[in-house]
Amino acid sequence: MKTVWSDILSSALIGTDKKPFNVDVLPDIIKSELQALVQDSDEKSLLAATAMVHYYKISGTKPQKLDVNIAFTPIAEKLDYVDDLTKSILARIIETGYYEKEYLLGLWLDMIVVNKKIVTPDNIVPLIRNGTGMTKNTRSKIYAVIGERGKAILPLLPDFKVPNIVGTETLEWKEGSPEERRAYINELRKSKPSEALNLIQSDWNLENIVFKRSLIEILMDKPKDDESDFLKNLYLGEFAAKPKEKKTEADCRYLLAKCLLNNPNSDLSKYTYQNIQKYIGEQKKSGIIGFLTGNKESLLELPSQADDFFNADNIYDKYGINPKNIDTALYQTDVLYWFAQLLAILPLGEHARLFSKNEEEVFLALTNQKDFLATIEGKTIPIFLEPLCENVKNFRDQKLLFLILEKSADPNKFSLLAYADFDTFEKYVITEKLFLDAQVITHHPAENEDWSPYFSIKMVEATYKSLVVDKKHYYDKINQLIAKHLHVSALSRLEEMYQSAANDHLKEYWIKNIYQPVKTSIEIKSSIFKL
Amino acid sequence: MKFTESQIQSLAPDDASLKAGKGLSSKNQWLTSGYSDRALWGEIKGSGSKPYQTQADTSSLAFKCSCPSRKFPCKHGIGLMLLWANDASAILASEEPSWVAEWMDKRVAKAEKPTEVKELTEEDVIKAEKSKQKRADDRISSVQAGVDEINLWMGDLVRTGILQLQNKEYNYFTKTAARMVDAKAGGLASWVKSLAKINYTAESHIWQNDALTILSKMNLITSAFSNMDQLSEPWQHSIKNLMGWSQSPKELLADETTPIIKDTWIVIGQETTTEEDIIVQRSWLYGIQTKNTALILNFGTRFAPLDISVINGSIMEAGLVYFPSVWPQRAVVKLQHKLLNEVPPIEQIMPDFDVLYASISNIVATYPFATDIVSVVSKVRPILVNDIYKAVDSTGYLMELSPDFSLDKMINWLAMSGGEPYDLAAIIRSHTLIPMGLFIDNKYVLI
Repeated sequence: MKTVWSDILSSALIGTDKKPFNVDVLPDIIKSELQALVQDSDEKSLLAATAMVHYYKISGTKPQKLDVNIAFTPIAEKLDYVDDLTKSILARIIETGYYEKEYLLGLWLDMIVVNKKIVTPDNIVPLIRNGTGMTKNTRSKIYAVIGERGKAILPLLPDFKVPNIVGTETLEWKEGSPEERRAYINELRKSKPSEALNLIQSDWNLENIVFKRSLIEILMDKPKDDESDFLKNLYLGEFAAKPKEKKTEADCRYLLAKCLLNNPNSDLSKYTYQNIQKYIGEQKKSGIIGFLTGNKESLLELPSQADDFFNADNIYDKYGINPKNIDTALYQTDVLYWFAQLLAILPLGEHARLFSKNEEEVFLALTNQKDFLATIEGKTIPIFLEPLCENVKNFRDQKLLFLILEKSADPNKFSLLAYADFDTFEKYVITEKLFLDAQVITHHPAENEDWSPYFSIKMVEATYKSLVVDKKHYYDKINQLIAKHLHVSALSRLEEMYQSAANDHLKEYWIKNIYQPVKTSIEIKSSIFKL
Repeated sequence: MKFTESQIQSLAPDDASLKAGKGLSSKNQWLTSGYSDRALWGEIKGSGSKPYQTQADTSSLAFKCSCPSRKFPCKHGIGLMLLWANDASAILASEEPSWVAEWMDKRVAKAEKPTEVKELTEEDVIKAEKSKQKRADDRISSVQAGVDEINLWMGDLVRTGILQLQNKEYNYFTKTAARMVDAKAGGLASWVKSLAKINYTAESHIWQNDALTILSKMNLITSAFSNMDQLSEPWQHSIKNLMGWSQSPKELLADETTPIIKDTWIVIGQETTTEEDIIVQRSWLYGIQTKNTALILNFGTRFAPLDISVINGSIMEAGLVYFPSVWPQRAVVKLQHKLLNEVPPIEQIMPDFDVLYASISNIVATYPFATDIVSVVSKVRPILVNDIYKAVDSTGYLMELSPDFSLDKMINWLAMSGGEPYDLAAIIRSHTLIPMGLFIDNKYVLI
């Protein structure tokens, strides 16, 4: 039949003018049927024969059969499926906005993981599709709930980057990527700090310098005694200044110095403060703070030239600070520059108490003293403001943070709110009525928690007032933040507003952009917690 | 009947309505709500002074809402249905309030009331018949002219060689198609357009075979049309249909002589395509007792949404009427009693692909233009053969999957089946399979 078709096709391709169709190639049964039909042209005859051969061919076709019996093992699930109620929540989560979706999905997935369940087969693909592009943490949770079927189809969904799941924890540490190893040791340190330190110490000599720096950063975060000892020994031993060393080694020394300076009893702290005290004038009575906050004519008297403490070698060897003054317009002497660098790693609050003065006095002196001001392009700049901001980032000193926010005119100061603790942040926003300031509100330290009930109500009221009462627009992502963080107790206030406002297009806008997404998000959260 | 979320999604006229509906699918947004064995209702606060009254006829799907939306169903209808689907405890069975009972009673009365026929005089009847006959004759003459022209066109092509098709510009086909439309032979126009849609850059044997097959089928149709007087009545209907004669569901429903095929029908799948700004929705049905299969066609535009009475994946006790044909497939729902949550036991489904192939051969022998054949085959599972997914039955027969079966659907099938064999509802298109849904634990699950 294949040859018959080829003969017909070749006539059709070239044309019956050049290659007339030969009916004799047809099987007898088709030939006789064809001859029974009256065809008024060779072309019609060819097309009729084509149709007959086509149907003759497909009517006799049988399905292909597997040559070998391919063994089939059904994919057995080890865990039970979630119930219908849990399942229905996913459908609602998928419809929420991008910003709150991952958060809500995370809560939902946590609940499934805790309950040791997996999603039903019809939800596997929607879940994977929605999880594509989400954080590694969320993807890991998704991976945990899609069951064996889900895992089996993942190769067909390559956009979903499967978190690198390594067989055992030890393997993750031994063979994981730097990112995975950092994540692993961080987690281990939270639950078993001694075990984490042992692991770090046992492999320390095998690590490269860059990863060692990462490990130092991890251990610096509220170190335990044995971790402090380990860091101290690194400072004195491996990362003590050497004639020839890599920049990363000096960086490590800087980190270690910062860590040691955070402990007032460390030798480095004592050494540093003893030396700084040398620059306090004799006529002043109460140490460095007295000088800093005292009258105008007798302040901290930093030398204009290098001396036995403020000199390039000492600053580099002891603190790992690059001694080269990179901003001579701001820091007119090297000593001012070195002091600025030290200021960033000296925990001011702790030492202010040591000197019986409050932080505000210290702060005002450091930012107002004449010697510590520079004029650049006609603007007067407190040269130590930037190191003080760094100080906030290093030690999360809430009092210093508040002082900068209150006293400084620096337009970038709001970025420090990322280092505020929960209460400080909310207090500041409420006091200054900065609810709708995008620069501010996006720095709320609540990552996955609810805002406080009081703050939540204030926030709801502020957005309502701005939009519906004052008819002003606001940062349009605030609705997403509210949807994610609003405390459930604020829902009643939200409802009151919904019921009370006059109907107009602004209220409809508010309903669409605030009321509905916030309410949906809170309802979903409540449903998840009830599971 | 309660609907699944995906079924309700398929009812939404657009994404915006669906999204808005989802926003209204929580319990405390509804001031009142309830359901009976035939209706679902609720009241919701909107921007008006009075709450909107939303109601749905759950036995023969229909919606009504007092909101001003022109969408159908509106977001409130979708929200109410979603609430009911997602949280069974959110809406309680109760007595229908008067505004629901009134609407439902009217619907029932309307369904039972025979269509009023205007009384015509004998003269009117003769006049109407004459006019109808004239229109029919004119149409036949016009189409015959188109047939003559297309025969010449095909004859020229075959005489000079179809190899030239790959070098033809698109408007070579569209101009011819347009002339067929002018000749009121829309069916022929579609066949010409299908020649234009062939991928002439594909491997030569593929496009050559496709083009020649299409031309041969066009020749069959035109020959049949020219010999229409000698054909049986069903064949005449079929050929007219292939030529582009439209079929009127309204007339079919009004015709009391057309037999009603009552059965429990599974809507095994739907496909929606847009053809020249017309949205065409094909719903394929499988009758559990009669083993009949059916195609329900729905047409819509951007401004006229599709009819929503046939829900994908639903199981309904209904009576269908078929348009006359050699192979009756296109049907209209004439009676719809109720929707079921579970699939009644199905007996005597296709045991394997071998039997299915034989059945397809029989259908093609009856009606060579048969396409999209609905079937339910026992214990089919997906299988990877030489890096290509196929379907395999319990006896090891394989079927290729249609190019119209997307990878997304394939992944869904794998996820839902876990690779295990399940009874499968499918469409057979050009001897390839389009899996539509699985029968799992008395449920019909769409892929």
